[in-house]
Amino acid sequence: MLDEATSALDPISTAKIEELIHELREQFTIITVTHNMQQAARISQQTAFFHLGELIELGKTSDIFTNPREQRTKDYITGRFG
Amino acid sequence: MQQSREHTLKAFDQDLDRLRALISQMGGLAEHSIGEAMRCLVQRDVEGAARVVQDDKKLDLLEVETERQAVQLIALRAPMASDLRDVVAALKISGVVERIGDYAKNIAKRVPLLENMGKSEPLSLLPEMARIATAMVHDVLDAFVERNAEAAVRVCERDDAVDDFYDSIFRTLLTHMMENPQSIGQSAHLLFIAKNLERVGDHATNIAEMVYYAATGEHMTDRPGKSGN
Repeated sequence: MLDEATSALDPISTAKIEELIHELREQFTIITVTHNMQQAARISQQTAFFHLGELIELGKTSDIFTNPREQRTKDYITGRFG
Repeated sequence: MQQSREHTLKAFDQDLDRLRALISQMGGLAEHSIGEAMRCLVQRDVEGAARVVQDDKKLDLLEVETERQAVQLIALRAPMASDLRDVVAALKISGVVERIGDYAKNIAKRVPLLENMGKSEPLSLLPEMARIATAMVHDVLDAFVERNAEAAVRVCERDDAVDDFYDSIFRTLLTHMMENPQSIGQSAHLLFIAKNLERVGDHATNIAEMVYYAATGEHMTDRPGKSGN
């Protein structure tokens, strides 16, 4: 389980960690927590969107970021926070 | 312009390679369809022409798949700079290649209507016109895969030959129709076929402009030394 594993890192180091995660997922189930939506999009196969402790939507990463089902997910990933 | 390094995230390179492979696959299908349609026209192969019409569905499906992959790539990878231009170019090129496939289908649909046509000079010119136009498509898609801006420019320079063929066929058919009114129906079909092939050449130059922009970030019309067109 990785909690904000790269949030303090520069882009180069972040990319190397993400490539490592990509290799390790062949052998391990990996759960990461991140506030960086782009990172979630890059490295995960499944994405869960939580808001204030509530699970809003869980699905294939490609579906979440191209055609989410829930309105709150749509609003969040498109930057409509208000 | 060649990309000097791979992405640190190798999956990103794989996604881009997959997109380029789809474009290559679409291009190969479209070229084959035009070649087959022309062969069927010359040989009066009605059954072969029916297969060309059916095979167009494969190109339509590939366009949908290319669009899906391009959108997914943009959403998941947030490509920037030349990567972004490549993805946008792939999206636009897939639509143009699908259109080229439609022209092959349209040519094939006319084969049964020309089955009993005798030999004619315009008909004998069409295969060479088709060969030049499909070679342009082949070369410009190679230029896209290789990110070769100069190769794209060279493709544009060949469109004049296709246009010249069209003008020649147009004049010949016009004369033929005036002298032989009973041939107007079949001549009109040949004219449409020639127009379709001329449009294939135009589409190849459109793709060349997209390839040039993807490779350089500049528009072909803005490059130094470009004469007005």
